[in-house]
Amino acid sequence: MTENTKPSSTTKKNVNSQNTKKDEGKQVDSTKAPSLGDKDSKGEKPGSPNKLQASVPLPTLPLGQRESYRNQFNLAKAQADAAAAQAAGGGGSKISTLYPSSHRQSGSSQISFSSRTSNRSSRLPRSKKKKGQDEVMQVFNEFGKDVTPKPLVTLQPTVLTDKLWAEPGAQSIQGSDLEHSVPIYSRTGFSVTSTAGSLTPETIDLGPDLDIDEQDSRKSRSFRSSSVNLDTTPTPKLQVIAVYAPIITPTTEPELENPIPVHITESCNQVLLSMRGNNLNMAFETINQVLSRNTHYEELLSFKKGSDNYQPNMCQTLFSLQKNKESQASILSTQSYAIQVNSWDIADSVGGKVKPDQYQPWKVVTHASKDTKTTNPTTTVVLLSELFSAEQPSAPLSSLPSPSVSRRQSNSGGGAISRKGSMSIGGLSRRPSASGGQISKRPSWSLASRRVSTSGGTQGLDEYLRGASPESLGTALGSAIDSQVGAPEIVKPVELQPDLSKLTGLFKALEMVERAIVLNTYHDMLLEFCDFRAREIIPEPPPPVELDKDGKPVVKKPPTPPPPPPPLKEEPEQELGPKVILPTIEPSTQSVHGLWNFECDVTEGRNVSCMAWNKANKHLLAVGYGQFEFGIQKRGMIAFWSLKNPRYPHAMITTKSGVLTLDFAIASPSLLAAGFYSGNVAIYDIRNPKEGPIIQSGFETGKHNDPIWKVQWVDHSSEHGESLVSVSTDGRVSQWSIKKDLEYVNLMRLKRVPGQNKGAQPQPFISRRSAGLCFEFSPKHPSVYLVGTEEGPIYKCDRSYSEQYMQMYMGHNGPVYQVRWSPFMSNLFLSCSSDWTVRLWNEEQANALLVFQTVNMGIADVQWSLANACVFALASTNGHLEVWDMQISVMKPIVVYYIENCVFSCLLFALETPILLLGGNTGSINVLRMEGFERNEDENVEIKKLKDALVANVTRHGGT
Amino acid sequence: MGSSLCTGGHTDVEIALKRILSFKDVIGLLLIDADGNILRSTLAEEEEVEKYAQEIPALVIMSRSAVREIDPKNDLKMLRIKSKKHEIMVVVDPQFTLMIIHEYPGHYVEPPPPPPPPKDSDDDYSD
Repeated sequence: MTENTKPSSTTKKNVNSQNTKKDEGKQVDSTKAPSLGDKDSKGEKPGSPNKLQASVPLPTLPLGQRESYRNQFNLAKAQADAAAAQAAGGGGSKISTLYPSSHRQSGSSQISFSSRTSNRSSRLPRSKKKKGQDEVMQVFNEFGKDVTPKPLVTLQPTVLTDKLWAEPGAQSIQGSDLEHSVPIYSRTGFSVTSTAGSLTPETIDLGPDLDIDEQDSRKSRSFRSSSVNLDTTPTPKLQVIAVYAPIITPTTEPELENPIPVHITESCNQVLLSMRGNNLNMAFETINQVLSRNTHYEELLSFKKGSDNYQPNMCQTLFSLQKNKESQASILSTQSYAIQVNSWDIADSVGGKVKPDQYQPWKVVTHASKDTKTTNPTTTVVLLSELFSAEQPSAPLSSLPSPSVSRRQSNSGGGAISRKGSMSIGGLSRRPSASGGQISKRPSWSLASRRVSTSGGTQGLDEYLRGASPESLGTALGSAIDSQVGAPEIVKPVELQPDLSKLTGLFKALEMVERAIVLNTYHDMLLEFCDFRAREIIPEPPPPVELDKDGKPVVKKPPTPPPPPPPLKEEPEQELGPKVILPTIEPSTQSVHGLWNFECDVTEGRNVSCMAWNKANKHLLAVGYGQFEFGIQKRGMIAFWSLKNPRYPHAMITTKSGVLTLDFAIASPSLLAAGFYSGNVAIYDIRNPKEGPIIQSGFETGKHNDPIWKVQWVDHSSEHGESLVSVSTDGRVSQWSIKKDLEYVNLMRLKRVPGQNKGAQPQPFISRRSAGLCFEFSPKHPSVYLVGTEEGPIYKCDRSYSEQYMQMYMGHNGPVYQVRWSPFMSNLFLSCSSDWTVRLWNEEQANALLVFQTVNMGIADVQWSLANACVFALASTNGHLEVWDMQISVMKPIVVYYIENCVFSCLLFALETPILLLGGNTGSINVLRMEGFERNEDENVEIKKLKDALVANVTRHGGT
Repeated sequence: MGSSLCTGGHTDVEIALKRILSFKDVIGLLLIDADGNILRSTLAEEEEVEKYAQEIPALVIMSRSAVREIDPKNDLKMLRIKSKKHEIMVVVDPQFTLMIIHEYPGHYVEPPPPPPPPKDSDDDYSD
């Protein structure tokens, strides 16, 4: 069979339209049909019924192509039949070579198959007449076996740029070169997923001079596929080329013109693939059955259409089609890092404390390997941060390795460095893979080596460690450090420029340091405060030096027998003075000296109105600052002084109104109640002193109309726990309970009582109200309390009776500033007044047992000593502190401490140590150490002492 | 903490700094951040600053490691180094290191306190 059968019109059309790919695509379709039709029967698709007997498989075509031609099969069949008939007459070649119409210009495609000569018979006519046609190639070996390589992958045509094919001549080369070009095109022209070595029929563009070269190349290779498109992009169409031609070598032109007879003889059929088709020829035996089944099925379908029994529905098939997908991935690269950590590093990591992006100022890396451990038992520390970035090249350290050493080590990619046997870094192993160039680009690595090499003599180890740290720590930490490594700067100390507010812990640190400094300074005084004296049994006589400003030294008044009596004594007690006790007491042991002052710039000039020890933390003192007088009111303040820092309060609370009284709760020691000059009561939680009061009285919930002079937490165990009681000059004694708000109940409305003294006839009152200044609940009976009034009388009240007084104690002629129950004998109490006197009362008696008076000013505060039953202290408004010991004298104080120009306002004993706190209008609190007031552990002894003193001093007086 | 007199934490810090520096026996204060930058220094001589900034953090790291090695959940907070001349207090924080050189009173003040003060510190600098 020759190619002369091709219609020439198609060829011409192809030539005209070959330049554009689109045209080519179309034209392939049009020309393919004859190409298939011209095929030998062996190449027929076996599905066609009339070709079933020639069940020779088609050479594998690209899938899409095959399908696109299926509809043309009938036409192709007809032509193939004709061709087969024609070929039967021919002789020469065993297998026909079929060249369908191609739009090639030169038609130079050539298959050479192990034969020496080219199949001129097919090639030559093709080159003339079958230009521009696609080819389908089929390869047979000498035995006629189809050895056409099956495509391993489906070739999908992709768009090729014309540039690649711009110079096809360059590719038309010797056959050996052609081999190389195959994979190249396969990569560019098609999306090929197989490797370049796969034997895939390739579409290659060969130059027009291939005809000449073909002569040389025909021996070179048994298989050479070439479907050539000249000047155009290659089409993926394959053409069956069956090549086995007799060796006919036309040499002359006339010979070429001569028709060459080709004889095709039938060879034995070889079934490579046998598939039964679905289409049946009408001549088939079972056609009737098939037809009847088909009609039956159609009937069934038509029956289904109108039926209710059937319903169109969709369902998913059980097995979906499987697709093979391929994706491109970079070559796997492996790297190994080594890091050595110690136990707390692991603890941090496990505990989740360490965030990789968080900068860690230090990192300790230890050697985990055994030998290092044994030789270097000490922890090895590697500084990874730039803690030393302030280093300067002018300060080399001799102990550090020389720069050359460190550089060499860093270039070697790790390894252990040991500095004096104590510092080392774990060996790092770095195994770059095929894509190892990535590693070399890492800035940290290169930077490290650079920095080490240029770091002069300074801290070569640290430089190295810093540089090498990213590798040893992995990328997460490394990236964090990289940025810091990249900024080598030498920092000069800058004054006040950096923003310290970012350092959140700085304030605490400063506080800690301040306390440390202060404790250094105050260490000895604090020892004294705490009454801690190691190895010193007898205190040496205290030096007369006092720390307080303008303070007179300690005034020691030896208890002499009847001293010159004070000028003003209401009741003559001279004869009682030197009774029994005096000689037993050594005269000069008792004294008071100052330790320090709680004062700072903030508190200066404020009036210390009240002080209260925290019930839980015995070293925490709350101090209220507020003016007593009406005209000079200003904002108040509460300061919390701690023994840890006597120089500055631990915390401060500023208040709108002056603070007059404070008290810590007993059960919940963090609650601090404050009474203000404005009449308000507030409760603070000292854990959050900045947040203001947690609860506060106001106009809505009720408040005192006048200043509150005293608040006290009262623990009534039976009822609602603790409640707060306050007294004010508006005459109310109120109990506040914390519910939704501060709610109060009036325990008592103080009313004036007609004077009972001397039986004088009562004078009419301007106001029946009485003003309370102080109160105190009895330690023995929690419902009994004393109220000291502005008018002078002291009332004993009970919470159960809000209308009447239990007892009235007349004697004071001025406002009673404080009443204090004795901590030892619960029926005794002291009161101090502005009438210059302090009086000792028995609960049962309306008149005072004893009257103490030395100074000519009002007594602002009086306090029982907590350690000695007979001792109390009073503070006067002219700067006198007096400590009395009734056991020694009821006439004169045993110690007087005087501060000039100071108006004392409050007084407080330390709870456990012989310390006296003294607050006045200067804003400073004097901490006084009392010498000679040792605590007697036995309470009964103290009580007995007090009783003795009372018996000795009071009996006669009481009798009068 | 802090006083409500002050407006914010920043001024709190400044006030505290000023207060500490007002103590007459505080020789100097040195604040370096985690990177080793010197944020604040009151030491007069720059060389001295450099020395402190170099030597102390190394010691801090060693001591912190020791503390943490003993108990991983523990941490170093403060380091007090009593020397013959003065005491160096180092407060350790992840963000910064605060050093204060304090000439503690036992070194030069003898008379005022009744119990001889340098007793307790004798042991520290005898060796």
